[in-house]
Order: sequence, then structure tokens, then C-alpha cells
Amino acid sequence: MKRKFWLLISLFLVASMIMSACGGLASVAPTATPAPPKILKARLSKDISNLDTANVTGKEEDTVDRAVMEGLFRYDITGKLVPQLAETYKVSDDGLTIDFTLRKGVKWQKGYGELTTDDVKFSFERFLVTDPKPAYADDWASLDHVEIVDQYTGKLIFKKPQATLWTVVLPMTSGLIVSKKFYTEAGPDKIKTEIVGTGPYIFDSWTPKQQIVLKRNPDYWGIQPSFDEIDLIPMDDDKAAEVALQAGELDFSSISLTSVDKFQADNKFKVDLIPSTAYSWIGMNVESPKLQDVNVRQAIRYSIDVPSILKAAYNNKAPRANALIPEGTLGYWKDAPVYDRDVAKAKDYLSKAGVTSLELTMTYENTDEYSTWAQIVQQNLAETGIKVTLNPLDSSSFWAYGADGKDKELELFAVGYSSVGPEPAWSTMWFTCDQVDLWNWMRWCNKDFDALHVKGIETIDSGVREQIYIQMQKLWDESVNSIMVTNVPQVYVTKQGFKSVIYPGGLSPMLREFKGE
Amino acid sequence: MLVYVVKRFFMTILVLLLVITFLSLLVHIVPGDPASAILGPRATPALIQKVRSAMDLDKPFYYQVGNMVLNLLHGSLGTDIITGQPISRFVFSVLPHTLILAITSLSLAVLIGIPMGVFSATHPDSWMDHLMAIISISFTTIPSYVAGLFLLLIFAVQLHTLPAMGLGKAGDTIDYIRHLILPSIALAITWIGYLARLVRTSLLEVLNEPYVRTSRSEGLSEGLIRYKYALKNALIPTIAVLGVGLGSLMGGAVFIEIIFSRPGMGLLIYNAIQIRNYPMVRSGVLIVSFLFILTNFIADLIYTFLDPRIQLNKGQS
Amino acid sequence: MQYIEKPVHPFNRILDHVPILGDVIRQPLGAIGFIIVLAFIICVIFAPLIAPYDYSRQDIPNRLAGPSAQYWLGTDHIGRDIFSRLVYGSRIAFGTALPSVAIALTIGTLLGLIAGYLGNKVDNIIVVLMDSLQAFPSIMLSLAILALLGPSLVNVIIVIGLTWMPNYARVIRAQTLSIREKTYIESERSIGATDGSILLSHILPNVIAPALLLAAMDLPWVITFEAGLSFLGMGVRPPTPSWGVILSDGYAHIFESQWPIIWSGVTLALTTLGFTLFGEALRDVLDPRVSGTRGL
Repeated sequence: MKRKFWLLISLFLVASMIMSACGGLASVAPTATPAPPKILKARLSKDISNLDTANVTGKEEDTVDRAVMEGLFRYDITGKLVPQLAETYKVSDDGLTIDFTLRKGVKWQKGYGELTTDDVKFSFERFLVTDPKPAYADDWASLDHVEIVDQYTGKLIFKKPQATLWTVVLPMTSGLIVSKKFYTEAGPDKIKTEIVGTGPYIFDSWTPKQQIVLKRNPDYWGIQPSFDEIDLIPMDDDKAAEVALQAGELDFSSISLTSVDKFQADNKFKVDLIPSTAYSWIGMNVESPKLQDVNVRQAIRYSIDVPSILKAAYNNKAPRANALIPEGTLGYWKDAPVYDRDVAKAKDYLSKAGVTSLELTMTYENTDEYSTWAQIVQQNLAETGIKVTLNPLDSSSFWAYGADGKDKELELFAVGYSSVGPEPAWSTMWFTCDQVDLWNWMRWCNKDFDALHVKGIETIDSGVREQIYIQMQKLWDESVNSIMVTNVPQVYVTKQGFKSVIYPGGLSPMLREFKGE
Repeated sequence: MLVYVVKRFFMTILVLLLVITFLSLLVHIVPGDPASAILGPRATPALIQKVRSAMDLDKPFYYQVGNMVLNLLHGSLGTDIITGQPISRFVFSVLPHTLILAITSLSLAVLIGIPMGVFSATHPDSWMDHLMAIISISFTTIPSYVAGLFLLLIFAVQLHTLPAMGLGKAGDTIDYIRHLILPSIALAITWIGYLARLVRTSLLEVLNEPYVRTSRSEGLSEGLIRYKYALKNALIPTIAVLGVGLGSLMGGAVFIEIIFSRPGMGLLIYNAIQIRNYPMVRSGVLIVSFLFILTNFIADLIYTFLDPRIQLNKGQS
Repeated sequence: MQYIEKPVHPFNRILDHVPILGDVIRQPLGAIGFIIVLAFIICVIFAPLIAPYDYSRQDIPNRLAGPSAQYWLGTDHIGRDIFSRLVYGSRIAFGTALPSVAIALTIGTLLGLIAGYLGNKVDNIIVVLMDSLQAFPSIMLSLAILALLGPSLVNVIIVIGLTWMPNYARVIRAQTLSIREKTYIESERSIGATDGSILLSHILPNVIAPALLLAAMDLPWVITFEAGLSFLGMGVRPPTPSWGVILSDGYAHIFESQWPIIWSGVTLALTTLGFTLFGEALRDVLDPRVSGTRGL
């Protein structure tokens, strides 16, 4: 019987070893070639869920898409807009027509034929479909149609001018060109997790929750990329990624601001702190009975100690934001007023409002970052005499406030939005009147602000645009609907021997331009 | 025997049905919206509606249960709404890693825990026995996540001696095993202590039984008595527990998988819960529950196979 | 006639006056357990007196400081005193563990009594229900429920109570089954006692002891379970200092300071150790053959 027992145990062990071996081997082909292939191991902060360019769910998909696919234009490594698949182009004087000629002989990966104007037409007109409207339909809202002149030349025809076109549409994900043949053959489900492009890397395989493998495209029309293979490893947790970097298991990753000092002190790594277009703030629902009075909101504004938040949540590595549009984006308001904590003033405002006791709920996503914010705000407001109950929610419950007018229930909240590129309209678009019940959680509705937003999009002259956006931020500031806190910089760590490049806006890495020894 | 197996089989199905029903009910009792979390901030109302109906959220719960059962009868777990991929693709991509983790941990517990228990029982009340007692009780009481964090802190953050995160380089078995060390120890610690205690108690009990005393008086050597007769009887309760162990280790792996960023069922379900991907949660929990019931069942069978004295219907209580 | 008294250590004489506790403390491991449990209970009762600071007092310039005379165990990422937070955290641990075990015990006992006493169909239904509740991996069940209900102390208590309940139902049911057929119950029934009165005055007192002991053994598991849920952000709301929250805050700043993880981890491990040692010693003294093997 003892023998039977040990037999079982050894069976256990053998089984587990075999499974380890299989588990290790199953995912990827062996890599034993004469010269070891050049591999980049980079972290994705989330697994991919929808790679379709018209419906991407986040910056992770963006990163993958832009390594594999290409557009008529792109941002180069200096952040300048340059033609990519367009060999020549010409914009008409009224800005409503763009003539383009495609590069000849560009081949789709995986044998999907040659790139033609037909693909361009298909790629952009997909955004005009109404059933259902794609998530990024707004990006091409002013497009009328794409006219095919011949195999390599065509025209983009617009209904009205659209300034965002040149900053965040043409050179970015919505401007990527997809293979018509692949999309039609693959069907609506397959295109979410498989892509075919014309770019330097081929989307080779995806093992859910484990890795995405990109391989060098040997037939690439341009300069060959630096790596034979890029392994993208999804890791949700910053700390996990930081430990993995230290163990040499990753060559490149974004990290949290609080760990910057640690990595800067280590000469095995290069740390890049990149100002980003993300913006986060403490919002006040101006429709809530408790916060209707502007004096109450002033009291809150003067109570909150933003520098303390920056110290505790970001170890002072994040700059203070004083207005909606971040530095580096057109429309940045340099002279925006800075509100320092002043408890006496806050109490004055509170008594001016005739409020003696006030209890508020503060809602936020239960990350370390916002939990730190909220606990500081709670202490700050307590000193003014405002009692705050904290309401941390996991990300789904939190973001569910963006539907069905659920945001009516909010009082105080901490939140951050990010726009993928440096474009002011992408910041202001969420705070118009028609965004109330959706993403305008302050529920602050101002007709002048709305009118300026529309004007800002249709204006091409950047000097005029700048004034429009500054005017909008003044309106915002006067209304006291929020306390701006920071534009959280993105931090990227690159191992010695590798060179990384980040897209303007700081949110996604430009994998195609990464270099390694 | 056959009757028993058939009966257990139907019980298992009944329990699994209840599990599905319970999970579907849970979704319906409390309104929560997966759509915006899944689609990102740019979701349009039409897209949200599409996701809701794809998840059957707009239908009564018995419809969901029926749908799921129908899918299962066709050997499918359904389709993931977000990626359009079959859910089974996710499950089978991560399940082996959870199984490997659980089995390795259990093997560690057996290889370390049982000898500890035997040593204690054969040297009762010696100072080593007391030391073992303290060690094993401490082991049983350390929560796996505390053990995991401490191992991480010592070996990965401070010493940089062992890799901690993920599965290791794909295709490299040695690297895979190296990545398995810290998580499996963290998960095994409780069970090492527990098995040591269990084996000590049951071995002491057996050693005091009349037949052991009789063989002693007949002059059989002490070693023979201890290891040949006593140990084999003492190990029977251990076997019964191992089945439960494998099941509960798979459930308990969730902390370890989160701390060590290790792809697995726990992490899969945890992430799905976070974004309210209900079909994924349902299928994941169903698979884990099924394996849990299955391992218990197998343990019962092994138990009877090792000890014919035990009547099969005893397992019913 | 005179007895010659053996010299007895005065401490032992005191122990003679506290029947069960005395026996527990006489065992070395039981004594260690007792000391830890005592320290824990003192923290729960006198937290405001023991803690040098309020648990939510912030000193941001001194964030993530190491141990010092000012902050004995250092500070966390918002500059709060870790020692004070740990002391107050005992209240959360206790305040969650006790009610959740009480819920599990009450509902479990009720179901167990009903199942065991009535038998037949009712018994079968209850057994299948309990089986399916236990077929869930308890952590995942709790996470799923909490994600839907939203994290809060009350929800955590309900969830833990529910996941632990089947164990009690099982123990009570088995005990009830064995007592139901005893002759004295039969005779009670023959003289016309109602089911209710038989259950309450004859069966319950006889079956409750093992369940109570089980409850005592379960306390440490429930404490670690609550801390685990809080570690995943599914437990109590900030700034309430659950040990699990301190642990996860520490993990988020693992590269800046390791003291929060070390102290909260050690506190958790020591507390569960203390309760387990105490519980096992108690079991050895009372010796009803119950094994506390769950929560693994």
C-alpha cells in the first residue's frame, strides 16, 4: 500500500513536470537558429481586446496597431507629421479636398496583395457606417467620401473643415489603412484579435493573457526594423512590471511615478519622464443640491492642498495643472490662476453660503493613486468643516457613471481622462452640454463654452484657435466646477542597450522605431 | 461501486447546475454595467446596447442558464463578447498554468510535510518535535498572500536571485520552472504545515493501537512496524485530504497569481470580475468548481482503492 | 490527620481557579497563544489609549519614513503612523471576524438542525445546496459578490458569513442525525413534545458544543480572509485601517519603503498564529473530536 501511495505521488510529480514542459513549449516555436534572434521584450499594461482601428479599446491596442499598420501620414521620431504611405499629397485651399498618391508596390503582409486606393477608401469610409456607429466615428465625422482616381491616386473629400484631422486622425490610429481583402474575409470577430498591415512588423500570434508576438516583416518596403521579434507581455500591475524589469525579464515598460527614484539611481536603466496629455482633476457636480452654490465650491477649492496630493501620490514627480489644456498642447493657458490652500478663506466662503454642516461623498476608482488623493482631500475638507465619505469603486463600477445619466448621483469625484494626442478639442469635447449624462460629470453646461468648442474645431488658424481655447478655460475657471490637479507624466524605463521612442502625447511607445544592440 | 459512481455523477451535475443558476442570478440581482468598462470611453449607446444583448443581460436569468447549458451540451463555453474569441481559448490558454502551480505546490507539501510529520510522531515530545510543532503551526497560519509578498520581497526585490513575474521566456522549460519556484512555495506553505500536523496526529494514533503494540511484543523490529504497518495506515486520511487540497489550492491560487502576475484561472476570473465580463466569470468559475468537485471525487475513489475496509456509501454524509 | 502539601507555584494555584483557561495556559503553546490573543484583545478594547496617533492623521513631509522614536514602526505613503494603524486595525479584524462567524454559526446551525431532524427531502435539498455553495472556490465567490455589491464592511461580513456557513450546517447536521435516534428523544416525542421544543431544549444543547469550538478555530481564518479581500481592494473603505489595506498600500510602494509590508505581514501572521495555538490548546482540553481544517 505504501508503494501505491508513492506511486501516486511520483505520478503527480511526473505529470506536473510534463505539464510544465508542455506549458513552456506550447506557446511559441523554438528559437534555436545559428545567430540568436534579436528580441525586444516589452510590457503592455493590459491584454489586447479589440484591435479594430475604428473600435480600439485603449492605448495597448493602439501600440500594437501602429507597429503593424501604416497610414497616409505618421509622426516621425521627432514628433513631426510626415507622409508615410502617401508619396505626394496636396490640400485644396478651402481645406475640403486632399489629393494623394500612394507609394507604388507596397505589399500587404501575409499575402494579401498590393496596397491600392481601394483599401484607403474602405479604411476611412468604414467610420461612416451607422449600424452600429463605430466608437471612433467622430474622428471622421466631416468626411464625405473617398474618391478613387486610379489604383494609386485618390481624393479625400470633406463636408466641412476639421482641425483635428491633422493632429489626431490622419497620423494616428483612426488614420491607419487596413486591407480591404483581409477585413472582408476575416469578418467582424476575427478583426478584433488579428491584424494585417503594411508595416515593419507582422502580427504573428496572440496567446491570451500571456503574450503577443510581432515578427520582422522581411518584405517591408521601408528600412528594415531593428528586431527580429517583439514579445509584448500583458501585465496589469505596475509593481509586477517593476520587479520584472529589475529581474531582467523586460527590456521596456511603463512604471509608476513613485518608483522613478529607484530606477534613476540604477545605471542599468534609462528613465524617461514624458509630459503627457492626460489630465486629472477633482470634479464637483454643480447640479447636486449640496454643491449648487458657487460659494460652497469656492470653499472646497480653497480647502484642497494640491501640492500635498502631488507629493504623496506622485512623489513630486507630476507637475501641477491649473487649467484643462496641458502644457505643450495648443491653447495651453500659461497665466491660469493658481489656488493655494487657505482654510480661513474657505471657511469664509462656507459661511457666505450659509452652510453650517456639510457632508459629501467622494467617488473614485480604487487605485493607489486616487485612493491617496481621496484620503488627503478628506483630511483637508475636514479642517474646513466638511465631512467627506469615501466611495472607492472598481474600474467598471466607476466608469459606469458615464452612461444613462448615472453621473447625477455624483457629488465630489476624482477622475483622469487622457487624449491620445496633443489636441485641445480632445480635452474640451467631454465638457459640452450634450455630454451631460455621459462624460461631463460636473454636469456643467455653458452655451458659450459649447459655441467656442464648435468654433475651435472649425478654425484652422492656430493663433485664433489658441485664443478660443484660452477663452474656454476662463469660462471653466469662473464656474468653479473642478480643481485641476495634474497632467500625470508617463514614465518609461528602457534597459541599457535598447533605445525607445514614444509618440507625441506620451501615451504609447512607437515600437517600430525601437532600436537594440 | 457503479451505483455509487453514477449517483455521484448526477449529484455533480446537479451541483454544477446550481452553480450556473446562482451566478446568473447574481448578475441579475444587482445591476452593474459591463458595457462602458468593456468598450472604453468612446462607447456609443448603440454599441453599449449591443454588448448588453450579446451578454443576455436584457433577458431573464433562466434564459441565460438555458443558454449556457445548451452551449455546454455542444461542448462550448460560449463566445467572449469583447474579443469575439471562444471563451475556451482563454480558459485553455491559462488553465494548464494553474494546474501546474497547484500540483507542484501539493507535491512540495507532500515531500516536505509528510517526512516532518513522521519525524515528529516517531520522536514524540522531543525538543525537535516541539520545534516541528511550532514550525508547522506557523506555516499553517501564514496566509498565502503574506508568504507570497515576503518571498517576493526577499528573493526578487532584495536579492534578485529568483525571477518572480509571469511564466518566463516562452519555450524555455528551465526558465518556466525557475518562475514556478516562488509562487509554488508561497502556495504550498500552508499545506506543508497542515500535512505535517495531520500525519503526526494520525501516525501517533496508529502507533498506539493494539495491533501495533502486539507486533511490538512479538519482537518485530521498530523500523518495520513504524514504516511498514503504521505509516501506511496513517497515510490514508492524508490521501482523502489531498483531493480537497488540490481543489482548494486552485481556488487559493488567485492571490498568488495576482502577486506574481502569473497567468492562470484565478487571474483570469479576477480580471473578468473587474471589467464585469459576466460570461467569462461564469465559465471560469464553472470550470474551477468542476475541477474542485472532480478532484474530491477522485480522492474518494483513491481512498477506497487504498483502504478496502471503507464502505463506499460512507462518502455520502 | 494532616496532609503535607506539596509546594505549589502561586501561579499554578491561580490557574486552578479558572478551570478551562487554566488547563490551556499550562500547555506551553497554549500559553503563547493566550498571550497573543490577550494582546490582540487589549488592542481592540484600548486602541485609542495605546495608539500614539489617530489612525488617519497625515504627516506628508515624513511619508514612508522608517522606524524612529517619533513613529515607532515608520509611516505609510500618506505619512500616517503604521503602529497606530495596526493597533486600530485589530478592531477591524475583530469587528469583521466575530459577526461573520456569528452569522455563519447561526444560519449554519439552523439549517443543520432542520436538515438533520426532518431528514428525507428537506435534508436532501439542504445538502445539495450546501454542496454547491462549497463547490465554489470561496475567494472567487466572495470576489464576485463583492464586485457586484460594492466593497464595504457590512458586505464583507455577509459574504464571509455565507461562504463559511456550510461547514457549520454539516457539523450540526451530522450531530443531530446521531442524536435524533436516541431513545430519550423518542420518549419525549411519545409524551407529546413538539418538534420545536425537542430541537431547542434537547438537541441543540447537545450539538452546539462542537460548532462553537469550530467557530473559535475559524476566527483566525476569517481574519486572514478579510485581510485578503481588503488586500485586493474589495474590503473596507479607506481610511479605515484594515491590515489587508496596509499590506496593499505597502505593496504599491514596495520600492520606496518595505516597512509597511513587513509590519502588517508580521502582525497578520502572528495574530493568526496566536488564535490557532489558543484554539488548538482549547480543543485539546475540551477534546470533542473536531478538527479545524478549513480555510486552506
